[in-house]
Amino acid sequence: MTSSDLFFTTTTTTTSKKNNGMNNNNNNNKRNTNSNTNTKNIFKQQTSKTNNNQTFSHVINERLYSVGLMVHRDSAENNSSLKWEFSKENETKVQTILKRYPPNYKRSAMIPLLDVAQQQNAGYLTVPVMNHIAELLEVAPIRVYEVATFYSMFNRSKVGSYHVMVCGTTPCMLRGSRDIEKALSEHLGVKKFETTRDGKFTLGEMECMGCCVNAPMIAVADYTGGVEKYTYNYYEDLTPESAVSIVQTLAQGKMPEKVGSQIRNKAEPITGTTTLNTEPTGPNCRDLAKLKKELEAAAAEAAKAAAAEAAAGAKK
Amino acid sequence: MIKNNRTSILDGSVWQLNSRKGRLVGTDQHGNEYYENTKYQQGRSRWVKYKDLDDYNPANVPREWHQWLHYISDEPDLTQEIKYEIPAIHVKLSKQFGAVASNEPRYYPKGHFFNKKGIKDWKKYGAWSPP
Amino acid sequence: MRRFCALISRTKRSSDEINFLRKSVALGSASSAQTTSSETTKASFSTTNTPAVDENLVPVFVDGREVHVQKGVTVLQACEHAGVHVPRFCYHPRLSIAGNCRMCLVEVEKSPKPVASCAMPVMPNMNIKTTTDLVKKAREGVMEFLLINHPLDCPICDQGGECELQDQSMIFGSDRSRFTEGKRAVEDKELGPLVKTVMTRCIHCTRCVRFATEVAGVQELGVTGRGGQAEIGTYVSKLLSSELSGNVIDLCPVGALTSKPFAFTARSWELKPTETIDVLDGLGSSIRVDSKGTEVMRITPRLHEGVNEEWISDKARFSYDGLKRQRLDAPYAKNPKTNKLEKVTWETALEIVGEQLSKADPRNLRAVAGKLADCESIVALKDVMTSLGCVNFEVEGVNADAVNVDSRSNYIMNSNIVGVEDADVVLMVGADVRLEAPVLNARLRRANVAGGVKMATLGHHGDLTYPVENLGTEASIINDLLSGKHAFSETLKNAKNPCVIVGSAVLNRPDCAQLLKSLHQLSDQFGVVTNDWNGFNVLQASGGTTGALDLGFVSSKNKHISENDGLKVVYNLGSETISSYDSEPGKKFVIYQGHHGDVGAAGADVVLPGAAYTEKDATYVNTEGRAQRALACVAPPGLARADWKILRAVSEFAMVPLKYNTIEQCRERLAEVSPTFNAIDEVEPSLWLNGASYAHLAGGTPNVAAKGGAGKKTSGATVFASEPLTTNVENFYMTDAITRASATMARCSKAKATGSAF
Repeated sequence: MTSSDLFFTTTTTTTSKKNNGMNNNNNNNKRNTNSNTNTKNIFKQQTSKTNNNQTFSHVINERLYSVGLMVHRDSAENNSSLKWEFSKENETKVQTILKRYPPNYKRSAMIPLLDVAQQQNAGYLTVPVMNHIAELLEVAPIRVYEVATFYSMFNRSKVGSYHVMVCGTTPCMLRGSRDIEKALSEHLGVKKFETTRDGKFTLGEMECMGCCVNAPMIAVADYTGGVEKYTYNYYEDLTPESAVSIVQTLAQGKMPEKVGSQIRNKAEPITGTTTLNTEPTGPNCRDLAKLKKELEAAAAEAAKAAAAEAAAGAKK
Repeated sequence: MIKNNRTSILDGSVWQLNSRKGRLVGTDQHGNEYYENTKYQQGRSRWVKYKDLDDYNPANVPREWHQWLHYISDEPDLTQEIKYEIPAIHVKLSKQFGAVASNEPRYYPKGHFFNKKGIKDWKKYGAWSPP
Repeated sequence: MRRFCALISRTKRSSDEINFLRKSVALGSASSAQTTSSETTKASFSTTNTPAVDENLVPVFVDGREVHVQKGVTVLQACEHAGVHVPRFCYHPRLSIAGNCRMCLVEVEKSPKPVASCAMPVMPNMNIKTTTDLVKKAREGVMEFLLINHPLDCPICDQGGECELQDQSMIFGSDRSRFTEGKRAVEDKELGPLVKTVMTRCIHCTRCVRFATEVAGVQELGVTGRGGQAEIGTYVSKLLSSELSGNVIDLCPVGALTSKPFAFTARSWELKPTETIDVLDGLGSSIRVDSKGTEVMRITPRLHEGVNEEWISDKARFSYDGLKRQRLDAPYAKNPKTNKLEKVTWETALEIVGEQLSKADPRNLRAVAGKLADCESIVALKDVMTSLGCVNFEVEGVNADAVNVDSRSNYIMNSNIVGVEDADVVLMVGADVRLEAPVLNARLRRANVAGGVKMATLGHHGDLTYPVENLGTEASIINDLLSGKHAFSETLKNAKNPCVIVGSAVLNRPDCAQLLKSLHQLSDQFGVVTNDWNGFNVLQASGGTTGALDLGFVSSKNKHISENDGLKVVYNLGSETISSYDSEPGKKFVIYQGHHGDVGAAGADVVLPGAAYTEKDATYVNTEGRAQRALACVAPPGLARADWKILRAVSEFAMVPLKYNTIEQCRERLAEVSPTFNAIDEVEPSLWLNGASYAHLAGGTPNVAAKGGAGKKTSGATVFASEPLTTNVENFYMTDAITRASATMARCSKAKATGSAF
């Protein structure tokens, strides 16, 4: 089975499921045929695209879902006979990370180290990378593989220099993340989980990043400059146009003007802030001097009254 | 709809055809008819009615219809050139299936009485023979 | 990990407790009847009738019934103790607790949700309910989820009939499925020639992962991915390199991991189980042989706390196909004309044997007992040969001149197999325990990992799966240890219960006597043997050796090998190392009695077909001196007969008829010769002679030159042969006639050598 075949079959199955869902209402026949024809056309496009995109065909093969395969396939550039090491500059970073944990709990450093390794290795983890980390942490390699496969933030197949991840979780989806994904997909000329032909962009997806208040959002991991220049920026409050313009700016090698929300300052209401508009007043403290004076005055008065009363009693 | 009562009594799958109502999606070159009814649950919503219900063989469902029947594709891909590869096991399929010559040896599964190749070794142990 | 340690300490127990357990099982008492093969934690609980005087006991209520259990045990164990079965998949008493299958959900009063009982420790006065609607619903729901991605292929699944998922879905599951979606499929993993995988069936209980990590000590299996995409596997394709890998087949509650050699050969309900023992390594693991007709279909472990717990090695489990190949199924005798072995009748063969034995000069007679010989046949052979006047006896693989068999403590595991866990320092001399006894190695690994026992080795060995300190490979290092020059002496001195494990290879070295003498000295010097602790252990390599030594199958002290050139007659009872008698000068007439056509049969003049360990009722003694009974599971092939019966017939033809005619009488004779055989499946502590065993060897004056030739006499320290200490098991999978005949074992050897299953 070639890679295109594999992709073909998988997508077909998913679509057929979708069809079944759609056809639950009764006017099935005609509609069914239509949808089938549509699907077929999409496939044709897809097949041709796959063929054009020879350079990154293996990416398509491995990244059927956001996380890829859960087993490793040996290839010339990724197999356990290869060696990989942290670069000199990163070595100090590695040591700093290792120092955070007691020597008998070295393996706690696994996720930070995998992160550094991913940044150094152009955005993805290969088997030699993971083996090296296992060696550093004195654990069996499988323990590192387990962690690397568990988290979708670790890529185990090649990604582009910019990993553009569209948030697809409910709030973002309600606020139009599908449109953003579609716009990006059309702009870059790739489908989800694919890499552009020049190897610059990978269109990805991830789960909620906690920016729901500024939905929809994308996150862009920048692997162009290794660990030094690595950034992982959120771009929020997007429209399809602004999303495309961000990607365009990145493609020119520049940073977009604004990171974070594109239209707001932070996460204030879209109509402008409604609270905290003035300078905050100071803390509300009691004036102790005044209070003391008052109390003393009251005490003096009371003493006076008591004295007067006593005097009146004496007269009687 | 079902012509032959004899088979429909003996053969449960043929009998079932009586009770199923579906849309005729297409017919293959052997005359087998393919039906679909999406009201049925997935996995049971597509079926084939063989041309000759007295002598049918699932192996004579052509590839493109097999795909459709098993939900691999939603439509039989009739645009591609149809090539029949003769399987490794020489199959003399039922008589409608003209692609294999009739003098080819018939396929018998492993362990079948007539399959001499895959016959079970009934010897319980291997004896030593002196050098 | 703490929980794991606690678990270990619970499973560790004295032999008294074990005996008590076994007896109670034998009596079929009510409490032990509920003990399933894997639930053994019971002995550490008190019974309900006992008042809760022990402050370690806490009262809990299971379905309204009050039981007292130890503090810190789990709710599931408390339920088991109360006799309430809780369904489970991931929980296993010998593995750490994972709590990921959720099948063991029970209701605990005042808990808002059902509780995973396997991972929940009991609290005093906890009210556990297992019969409520909530529990029923929870179980049904969990089962429904487990079955979502489980294929409906029970009819073609080898686990069918003994599948926990099948059973539990019948008992606790819903009666119908609501699931109409597609099921996921997972790619099968290649784990080697023994374990077949159908990963789509996996329910992710992670028992196999935990077994490989914790017990076998090979961290190769893991869970990759998460959620609906989680898979069990090695990520990078790799074969399981453990000698205990077959146990994952038993552990797997579903048909994801099944036996490759057994695949599609039989259904579990067609098999006839026979509870017997394994003899292919020194441990004598308890096994169940499943047979169909005259064929052994598979071998699975049986629970024996004192020996193998519930694991067996791959050799014990998978070498059974060797029982069907290269069998001797008829007597053979050499045709004087062609000088080739030809099939003859029993009468002819026995006549020849009887004639040769009776007419030979008794001083020229010699008997050799093989590795796998059973005690009945050994005693019969010894009786025949002694009646003929023979004094030359030999046990395969043991330098009988050197090993002193007067005291059992010289050649058995004195600390017992369970006892190695009570040691605090273990020194292994000339042994690769992982290859010689993988199950014992798992125990040692546990002692090291969970108990922190220090491990050291002397001699060559491979990876033992736990950290060891290698003191070197030269035998002379023992001198340094004795003199205190070596740094390890200090460790030994400070140890409370030091333990020495002597590999069987040591017993066959030319300088064996010197080595043993030094090791005895070492034992006395460093407190390896004290009044209440004997840590001097000899790890025998096979099932027959200890029995033969127990029966005194060694030449008498005033033995006499005839110098004249008369025909020598050798009676070879299943020994495959013929070099010992073949190297001697003079013409020989060799009678071979055994079950496999191997080196021994090829070099014989008469071949008498005997029975293998699955084909005869026999007694074997394991390396700790435990006499155990093997039962006949299938009939011997062709004309082959049980070995002691052949010897009984030989005695008639040799004109020295034996006095026993039945196996019972033969066993009476066994008990007469050695008290070991009085009590079956029990270990008697044996007497330690405090160096007296080797006192006849003058201190520091070895007679190595007599055999090894490498030793030199120097003043002071003992001199040993120069060859390094090492194990005698080169290839774990092929150690004897049975395993050499096995195709599965050949595949394993190849896979191990090449790293590929193909």
